[in-house]
Amino acid sequence: MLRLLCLGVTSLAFFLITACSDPSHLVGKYQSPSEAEHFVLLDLQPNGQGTWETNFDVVSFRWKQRGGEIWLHTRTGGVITGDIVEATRLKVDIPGVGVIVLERQ
Amino acid sequence: MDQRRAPNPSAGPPLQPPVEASRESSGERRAFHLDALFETVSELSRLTDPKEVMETFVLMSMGALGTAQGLLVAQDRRSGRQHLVLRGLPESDKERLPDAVQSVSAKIHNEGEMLSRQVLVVVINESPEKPGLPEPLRVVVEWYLDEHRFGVLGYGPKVNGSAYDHQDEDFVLQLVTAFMDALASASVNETIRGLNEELQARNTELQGALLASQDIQTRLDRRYFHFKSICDTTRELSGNLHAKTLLSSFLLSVMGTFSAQQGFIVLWDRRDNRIEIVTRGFGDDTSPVFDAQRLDAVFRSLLHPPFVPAQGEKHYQVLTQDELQALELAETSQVGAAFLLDDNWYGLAGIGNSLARSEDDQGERELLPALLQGFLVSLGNALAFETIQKLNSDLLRKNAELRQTLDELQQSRQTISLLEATANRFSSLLRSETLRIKRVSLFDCLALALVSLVLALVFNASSPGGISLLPETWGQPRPDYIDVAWAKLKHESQGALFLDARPTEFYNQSRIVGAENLPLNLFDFVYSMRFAMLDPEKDVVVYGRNISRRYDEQVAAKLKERGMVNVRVMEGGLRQWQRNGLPVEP
Repeated sequence: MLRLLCLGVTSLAFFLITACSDPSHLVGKYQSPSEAEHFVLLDLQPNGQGTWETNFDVVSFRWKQRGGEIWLHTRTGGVITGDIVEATRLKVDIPGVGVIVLERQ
Repeated sequence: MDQRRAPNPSAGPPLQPPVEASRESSGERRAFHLDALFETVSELSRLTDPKEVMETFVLMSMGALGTAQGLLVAQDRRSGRQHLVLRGLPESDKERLPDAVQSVSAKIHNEGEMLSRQVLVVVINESPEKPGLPEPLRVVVEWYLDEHRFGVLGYGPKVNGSAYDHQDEDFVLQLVTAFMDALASASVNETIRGLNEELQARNTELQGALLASQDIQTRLDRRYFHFKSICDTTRELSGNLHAKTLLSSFLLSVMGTFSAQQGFIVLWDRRDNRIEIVTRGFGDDTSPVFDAQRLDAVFRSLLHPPFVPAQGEKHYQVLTQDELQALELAETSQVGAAFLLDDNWYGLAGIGNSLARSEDDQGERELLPALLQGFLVSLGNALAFETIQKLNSDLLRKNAELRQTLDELQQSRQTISLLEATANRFSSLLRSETLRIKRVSLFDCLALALVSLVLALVFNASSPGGISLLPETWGQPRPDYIDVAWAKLKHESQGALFLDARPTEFYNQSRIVGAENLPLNLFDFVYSMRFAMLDPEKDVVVYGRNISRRYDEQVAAKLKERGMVNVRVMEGGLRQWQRNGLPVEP
């Protein structure tokens, strides 16, 4: 029984380790272009935390990289996904709002 | 010569001329007789035909004897031939003369008594007593040339009315002797002439036979040549098991046999639409061209009875000149033939510019069918051999595949054996573990439940989407509620903003007409992007919940946290809205 439990824990850890890519190259600040409808300033911090700042509010979240995508985990359990374009541009799709383009500063 | 003078008792008294005058007259008569005898012998010696001898002798002897009536009957007992010369006597006597000759002498009935060159004066100066002989005769002479030929000679009375005397009798004997000599000589000549004519006829027949034999020899030579050609062709083709080289070899043999300068042969596989063509002696632009369409037209025109393959006997047809003309092959071919092996293999052959060919020769007409029969047998063998080779190669390939499959099966069998061994080990392990589990204690169960609980809490705490252990609404004041009827009035008057708090997937499936989506799990982001600039006094109606989650109450609480004062939760949610028959979309 104990042997099976150890085997399960080891397999889960291996799965979690191999599922995520190295996100260090994404750390930094991203901003929507000046001509964009909505002003957004995205700050991805090395510890996996981040902020989503608009003209009216600041939202904190945790982020991770999954392959060619970045996942933003909200505090209420939701996930917003965005495409990573050449590590300098992010295209974040917010339901009901649309795609927000952010460029690295 | 045996001459016999028969006594003549009826001759009357002997002749007694005066002595002097008698001597003178006797000498003259003797001289006359000698001259006449000489002329007769001279004249008869020139004649070679026995009939002419007899005709001439009768006339000359009558003149020499001075009589106007003469008779000569000649008979050959061996051949049965009889010749009659009648001068100055009535024609009616002819019918009785043969019997009369038989009765003249009894010697002719006894061959042994007939002596060669015998002359006998039977009657002189009186009428013959023998029946059948003409009455006017006064001299009758029997003559026997040899054992077979004999005759009777007779003369009428002298013109001057005098009787025949001894000199006349001697003269007659001499004349008959000369006549028999001439007749014997003429008979010999006639025999020689007959032999010559027979010899010439035999020579003519022999020449004809020689020409016939030469013709037969020529035909025999041609037959031998044909037979040898058939044998050589058959022997050469029988060892060839490749269709392409077989066609070339057969065409060369046929051209050599018929001394042809050009020829072609086509083999058409109708099923695979494959055409093999071999030509010889044609130029680049004169060579006949065959494609499937032309061959199909050719054999459609030929495939009628009796050229039907199903009969199984006649698998070829020698084409006539009219058929060659109709198939547009007359320019290139003098002799042509069509053949087939079965329902798929069709063939056409033709040769032209033959240097030596006889259309009238029966053997030559039979030669091409004989060559074709041997060729068709060899071609059938070659095609069967190719089929067998193909089947063998397929069989070898399939054997290799089968061998590879067997190897793979053997490897799989080994793998299965290993897996079976592994499965057995797992099975025994599971069986032992099951047995052990059956013996598990309550402490083990509690430990297992505790470990599972710890792991779940750790995972929930570490997961960004983890849920709170206690409902968030427990610590919050109860939101304001609005019933569906009142919400309907708000909706109809557009006096409130309807917010759907469910996740976007549910919102997309069904929602109140005009409602906006503010999902709880994305509340911060969506609110900051779309609803942060709302008037805090704005009437807001929130709906959306299920059995385990009350999205509406949490969203309403968050909105109130952000300063919205007129936030209400619709009782019954979307389900009650639909039950009341109020509009939803899409």
